[in-house]
Amino acid sequence: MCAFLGAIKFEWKTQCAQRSNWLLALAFMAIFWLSFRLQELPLRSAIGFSVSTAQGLGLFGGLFIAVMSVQNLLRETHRGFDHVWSRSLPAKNYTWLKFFGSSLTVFTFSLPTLLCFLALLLFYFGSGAVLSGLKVWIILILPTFLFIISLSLLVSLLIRRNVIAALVLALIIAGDLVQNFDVTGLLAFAPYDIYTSAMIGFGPDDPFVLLNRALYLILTLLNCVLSLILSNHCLPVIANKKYPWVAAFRIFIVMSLVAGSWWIAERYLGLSRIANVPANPVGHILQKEACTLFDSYKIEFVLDETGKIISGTALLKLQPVKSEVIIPITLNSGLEMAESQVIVDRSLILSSYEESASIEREVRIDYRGEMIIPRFAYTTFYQEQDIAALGFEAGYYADSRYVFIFGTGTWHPFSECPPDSVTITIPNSYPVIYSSADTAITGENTSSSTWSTFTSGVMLLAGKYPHYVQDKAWNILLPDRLMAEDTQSLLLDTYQSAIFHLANHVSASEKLPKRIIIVPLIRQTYQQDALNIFFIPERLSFTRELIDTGNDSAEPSNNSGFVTSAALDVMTSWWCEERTCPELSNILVSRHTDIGFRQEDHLTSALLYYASLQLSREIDQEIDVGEMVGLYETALDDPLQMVQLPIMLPPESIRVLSQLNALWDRITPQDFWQLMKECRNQSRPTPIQIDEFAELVDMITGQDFRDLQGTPP
Amino acid sequence: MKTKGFKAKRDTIFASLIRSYYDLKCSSIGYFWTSVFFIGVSSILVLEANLDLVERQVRLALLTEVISPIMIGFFSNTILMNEIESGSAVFPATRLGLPVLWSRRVGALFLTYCLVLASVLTIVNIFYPEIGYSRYAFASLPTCLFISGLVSAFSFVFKEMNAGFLAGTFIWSLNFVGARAALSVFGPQFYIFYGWAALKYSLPPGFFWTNKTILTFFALVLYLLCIFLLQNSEVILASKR
Repeated sequence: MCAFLGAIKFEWKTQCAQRSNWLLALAFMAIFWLSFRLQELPLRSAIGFSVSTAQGLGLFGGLFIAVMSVQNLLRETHRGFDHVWSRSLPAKNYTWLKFFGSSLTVFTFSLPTLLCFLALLLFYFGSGAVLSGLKVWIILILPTFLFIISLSLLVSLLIRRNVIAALVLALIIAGDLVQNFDVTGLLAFAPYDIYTSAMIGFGPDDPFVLLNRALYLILTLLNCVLSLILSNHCLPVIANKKYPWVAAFRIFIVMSLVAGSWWIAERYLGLSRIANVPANPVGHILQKEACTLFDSYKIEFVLDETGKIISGTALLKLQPVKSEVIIPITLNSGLEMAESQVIVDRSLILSSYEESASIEREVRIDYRGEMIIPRFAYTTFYQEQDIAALGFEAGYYADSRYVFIFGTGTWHPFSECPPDSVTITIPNSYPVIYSSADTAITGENTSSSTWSTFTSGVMLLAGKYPHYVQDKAWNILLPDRLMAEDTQSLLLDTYQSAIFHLANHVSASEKLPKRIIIVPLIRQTYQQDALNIFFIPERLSFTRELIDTGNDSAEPSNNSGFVTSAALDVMTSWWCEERTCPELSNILVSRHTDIGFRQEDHLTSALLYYASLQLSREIDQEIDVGEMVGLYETALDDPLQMVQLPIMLPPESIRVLSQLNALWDRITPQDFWQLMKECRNQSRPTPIQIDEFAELVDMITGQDFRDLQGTPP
Repeated sequence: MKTKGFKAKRDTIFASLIRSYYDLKCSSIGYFWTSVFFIGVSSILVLEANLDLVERQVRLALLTEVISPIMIGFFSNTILMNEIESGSAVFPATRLGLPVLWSRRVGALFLTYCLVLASVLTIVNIFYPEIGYSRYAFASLPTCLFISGLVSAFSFVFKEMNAGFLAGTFIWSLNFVGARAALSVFGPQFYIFYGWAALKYSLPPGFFWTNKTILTFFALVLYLLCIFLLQNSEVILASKR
């Protein structure tokens, strides 16, 4: 054993002594610095930074390792090394020697990059981030690099020509990277940054990451075993005596590893199919239309100790129908429903009145399983209007530490139909942070909450937040290392100011302290309890505006763009109080009302944007509302200028924006905010239209809105 | 007399080519079979029935402008470094200067590659004449020259073959795997697979000739650097001894 370890040490020294291998360290370093922007580091979470760098190294580093390993693995098979093989060197020792030697060399040459990475983590996120960052790198990079080394070993033994082996490996790996440059691919190296969270780690993608990494480790073992078997035949060793039982044992090991990797791959692909299920907005629309058939809809929902398995029961009382009706069931694909005669292909089939025995019918749907959250629901990317309108479709997330449940979600079979009563039972291991329930009963091991009035917003939030900032006016719950401390403070200060000023204008109650809770996965801010609780998304699509990334200093500079965006986010959450209106929130993601907005929302978009400009002027005195409106008016004549503006508004909205600015000059701020409150009340359930708005303006301010003209550009 | 002189010259060139071919065959084992394999695989992939014209063009561009340069780059790296690393370069070096030997072998390598490229394009054009020759030939050759120049230069600078492989893989993967990012960083003038990217991402074809001219220029600079490095052949040979 000592001799073997000594040989590994010698091999490692030999490889490290080669000058060309030093280039590997340079290549790693180059890829590391190319995989993130230093100026944007203060905006990122520690885990986001760790994942993107690990992904960069995993993607490109593998190629360099493959090319380097081939030369090192085949060194002794070149001409001039015949004397090495004249001794009775066991082939398996040579193979293991090369595998461990190459692994140590790769580790040695990745050390400078690792140190750089840890130093950046320490500098931007503090010492607590170092261990978690290291853990991410070990999970994401180590299995990939080991797999590449073992694959190089196998291919080198098979081909035994270093150029051709290197070429084959480069083409295989690059081809795989190009073809599977997506988290959905089986051979993807790491989940995208957008699927990572400072709060819940990989969150819904946890099983994918674990399965993917496990697959790579098994494939590494498989490659090594195959290499050991091949080494006897491919290397110029002196043949040893062959035993049949050794061959049988090797075949057994290989078969077991193949079966293991096959099982993991199948499981991964099965989960992946569910997670990547395309959005079905039509099903939601059809279900919404059928909600009128429900006389009563009750849900009982139970979460198990691990936070993974849920079981539920939906009790329906349905009106009789004259002809057969098919109601789509939008229950999450990870949940299985008990067999029922009225459920076919995830649809509820209601037969006609003549065929049914009773006038009113009762249906019971039992379901159970593990929620798998579709990825389209929580990306911060632009989405089509109908998909964006689904919002955070699952409306549910639970792991061993947190539970989030929203009213609208596919954790119950008819997510578009407001239930009459909901009972949710969770283990006592989750301390409740927020609950909008009417009654709550705490038992020995579980606590049950019951809702008799429905809210589409946040129903229940439980778990232990790592950070809790508390003073007289504010309670803030935060994840660890959401972003660098300075930028995090700037973000929270801006939101606090926006909420404070808005509450001053529109809220009668002055309940203190107000609460801000950072929530993962969601795309829009929710506001509940009359402007007293705000649920802000962990990943805001406009955090880039917090700092001026154009300059190299990465110092917070002109962040008026962020102030306006945050004000708009807060305004929108107030406008949509306790209900989801993703079609309005989408403006912050798409920045384009023509795409993100429906035609009937043009007035609302202008109203919200103008009000948020006024709100942001109160936060930052340097913001000139008149100047901003003037820029939009200019963009009416020169559409190319629109691209440079914060949000692309359609011409109808720009005209309303001009009129609102003219109105602002003629009325008091109190009248304006009174107008906003009335508009909000009248916007339910359908958005307010221009005629109704003009009447309101006349009634509250005495001005004729249609006669108002904006400032000429 | 004139005819005799011409014949003699012709015989000398022919003999020189034959010698280069043998040199190439000895120093770069597998190149011939890899070329045959490349012709076969390329023809099968491009002539696949279920492709429309654009997909076929993208695939042909991928094979000729992206895959073949790394292949040529890797083989050109070995044509002299193999002998230098095994310590046998001293024998041919007594007969010819290393710059001449290397240039002759690179010339033979590219001549062979031109034949391979011509074969692939001819096979494709027999079935799809609208695809043409010139665009792919001019897309492939400057990129092959550039990658092989880069790979050889790195090998000669570090006096190790591995350095060339790593440098070539680095540039190639950066431009291929991270195509979009590389395109935005290098711009259409300097991105090394512009012909392929222009087809794949529907980019303006106007930059094609500028791009290839710039690449050819850089390739020539790298080749001159290689010759300069090889002129000091004693140092290279001594380092291995």
